Amino acid sequence: MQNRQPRSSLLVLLGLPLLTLVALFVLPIAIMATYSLWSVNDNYQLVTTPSLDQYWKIISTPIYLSTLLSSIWIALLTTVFSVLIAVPLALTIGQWVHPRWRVLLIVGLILPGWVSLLIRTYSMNLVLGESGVLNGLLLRAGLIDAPLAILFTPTAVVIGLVYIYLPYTLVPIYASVSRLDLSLIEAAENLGAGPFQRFRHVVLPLIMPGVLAGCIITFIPALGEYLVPNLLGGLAGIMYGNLIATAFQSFDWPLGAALSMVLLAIILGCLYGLSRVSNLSRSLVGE
Amino acid sequence: MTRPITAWLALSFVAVLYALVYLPIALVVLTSLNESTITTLPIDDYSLKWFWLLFANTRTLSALWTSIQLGILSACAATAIGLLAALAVVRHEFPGRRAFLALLTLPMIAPGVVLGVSLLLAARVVGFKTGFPALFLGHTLLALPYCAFIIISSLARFDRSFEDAGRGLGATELQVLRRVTLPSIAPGIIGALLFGFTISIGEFVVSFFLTSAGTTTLPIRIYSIVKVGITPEINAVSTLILVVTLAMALFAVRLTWAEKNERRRK
Amino acid sequence: MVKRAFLATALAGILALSTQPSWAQEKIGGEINILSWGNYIDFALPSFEEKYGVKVNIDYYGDEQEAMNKIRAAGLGSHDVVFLGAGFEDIAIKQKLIAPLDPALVPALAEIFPRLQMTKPDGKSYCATYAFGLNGIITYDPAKTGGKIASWEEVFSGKYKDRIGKIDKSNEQIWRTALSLGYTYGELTEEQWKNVEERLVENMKQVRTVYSHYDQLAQLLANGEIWVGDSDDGGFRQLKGKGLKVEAGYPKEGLTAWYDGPCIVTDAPNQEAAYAFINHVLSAEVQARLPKELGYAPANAKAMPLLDEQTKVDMGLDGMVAGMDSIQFQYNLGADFDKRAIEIWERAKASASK
Repeated sequence: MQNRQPRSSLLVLLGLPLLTLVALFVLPIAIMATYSLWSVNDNYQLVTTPSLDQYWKIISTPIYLSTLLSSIWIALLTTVFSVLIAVPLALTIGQWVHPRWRVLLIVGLILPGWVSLLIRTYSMNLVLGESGVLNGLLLRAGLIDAPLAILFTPTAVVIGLVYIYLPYTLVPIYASVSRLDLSLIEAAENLGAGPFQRFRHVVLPLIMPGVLAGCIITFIPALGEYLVPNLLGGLAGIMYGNLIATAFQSFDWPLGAALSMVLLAIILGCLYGLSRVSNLSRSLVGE
Repeated sequence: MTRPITAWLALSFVAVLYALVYLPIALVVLTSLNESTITTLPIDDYSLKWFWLLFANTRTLSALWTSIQLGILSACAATAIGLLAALAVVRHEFPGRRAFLALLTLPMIAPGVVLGVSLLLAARVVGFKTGFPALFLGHTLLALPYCAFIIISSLARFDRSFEDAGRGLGATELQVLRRVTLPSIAPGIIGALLFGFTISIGEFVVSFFLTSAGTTTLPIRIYSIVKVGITPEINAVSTLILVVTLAMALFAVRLTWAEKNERRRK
Repeated sequence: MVKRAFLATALAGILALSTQPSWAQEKIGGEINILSWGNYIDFALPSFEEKYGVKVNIDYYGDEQEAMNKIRAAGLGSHDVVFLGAGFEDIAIKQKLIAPLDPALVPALAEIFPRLQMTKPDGKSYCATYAFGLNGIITYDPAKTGGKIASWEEVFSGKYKDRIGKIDKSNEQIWRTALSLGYTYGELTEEQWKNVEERLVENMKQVRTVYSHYDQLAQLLANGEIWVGDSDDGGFRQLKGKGLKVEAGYPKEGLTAWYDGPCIVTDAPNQEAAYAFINHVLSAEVQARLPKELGYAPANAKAMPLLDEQTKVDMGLDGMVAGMDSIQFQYNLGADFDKRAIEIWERAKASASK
């Protein structure tokens, strides 16, 4: 598939990335795993006798698992809606938009990411609130009689998260779409396939690697979100990430570390499961 | 090209979507011009006073400057390291390639809280102080997967026969890399730089754990001002950032067009 | 001629130097890193910087936990002064984040009201009290509620269902509920804990959302998302400062009081400047500005004569001083109490979202 190049050049190439990942990711996570086996006493001093107390606490206290489940649900909804928007968006840009404007449109979606998350979320308040823009428009259009209570519901959380993650979902999907061989679709058309059949049997399988990558890059980080859900969802927006943050803020680092390890385990499980189901490397490297 | 009805429907869908995406942004700009201190609608009085206050506020400006420096440095570092990783992954079949790719993906998808705390704990164990260097390392780690995958995408599409031609004409490996490969994947590299900068400048959670007494980034500064009492001064900063990034993005896009046109002419 | 003038000035200088404490007139120079609440000490900084030639780097926090986490994150030896109180300084002491004050170096400490001298069981002072005030106030929008509110009973009567907000602080929520049940501040029995949890879960059914700081409360009240919230007097002042038309209700079930002040962080890099700073903000001159700048009563007894009569009357200061001994200040009830409070509050929040 590729030219055989000398092994020495491989080592040179891999050296720095591997060092970065090990020093800044693997080792710190290992340290955190160690913390998860410790505990904190009444004087907030670290007790370094190893035990599984923290994990036992997580399993036996209902709030941790129930919050985890609701976070998984919200992350799932976010992913589904993001993909449902990103796929038509990518296809439209890839097919009907002049090549000159394509990059600008993609960059245009990434640009809002430069405005502070906090500010954007406060602005979402103005959009979704009772006296907000959305309700104002709907009322004026006569579509509703009384303002909808969107803010402080799970709906607001999903809307907020989709808003944040759409660019991330779009990029891998668009990468797949841009590699589509349009002649294949034309051939299908010539053979008599309708638009829906063309999509289902030709387009979808071809962009599936990109969709899969988009799902990963949306679902997994969304699992760990807590700032945006908190601001938009109020009491309905308490996610697993909140519990982690609260543990660390209350100086219970071992508990926070254990909660984090549980989340990491789930993430790795998802990745492993997906790699069994499809060729993940292909999706990520895209060849 | 003639477009069927479906195309027009699809394009209007895209237009509506972009309008929705930019609605909160427009509100940010609007409220930065609001006379009153609270962010409510409708706006009664307009004023530029928050912009004047912003420029007088040296702490916010120095936080902005720190964020910009961090963004540029970590984007460059992440792109450079990402380029190496991309070359390794795309060009070589080696045992553990899959594992390496998985490892490369993890900083991108691991929750910010987890990354931030683990970096802080590691810094404590090693005796590394928080501050600008720690922030630089943290941001580089975060941006690395994105930059790497963007470049991988570009590299995978690159036609190796150009390289062979170069080698055939007597160029060394390094020259081939510099003169043939890199210019061709330049859009990918620019994309990686842009994305890396985006990641860094918006990064809040990891930065929260790595700032020190004297160094703070813009998102953290905004967060602390918000806790004290948000003023549209913050919206003014955001508007400023928007203007700057729009300029930068247009510049980057111009560059890409110029590249494409240049290659077409050759 | 010139020589004599020079000698005269030098003599005068030496005489002046020998009659004052060393740090009072010497420019200390250098920098000082302070962790403080927003808009809390800012008004006193310019005079301090000028007097001692020290550059102040101020970092804000929204709650005490955040302050302590910032010190832990930056490591000891980076921050000089942190403002803590209301029992949180005990947590900082346990974590060895703050060091005891040397009273000899803080002459202004002797001028603070006796009731506000928060000496610890080991006989040492860790934090000097800079200000004090009330906690557990009902802040509401009278235009929406249609009248005064003066008790928690009324807040949760059902009239304001889904229009109530609560601050996301476990201890405070436990205490507001406990006081509503008639309990006094202190250790709680098993039965009392149970009742507090029950009542809190009941009340949460009427709560629309929680907020983590007063600016959020301001936004929520201004947008009409909630009509009633809870805060301390500092928060209420923040709301009025933003031009919100809100009122404060002092619940008949009772309130707690907070105290807060500067503490020296362990291994502070600029100890000299830290002590100078504490004396500065505790001084009668600076304390006398508290009512106007912050709306708080001064903690320094010697500041009282410096205030004008109108201010004293408006704030009821004479009465406050007279009744100071009976103020119930918050204090730390131990790690177990805090842990339990957090657990109950987390459960209450979770139950409300069903």
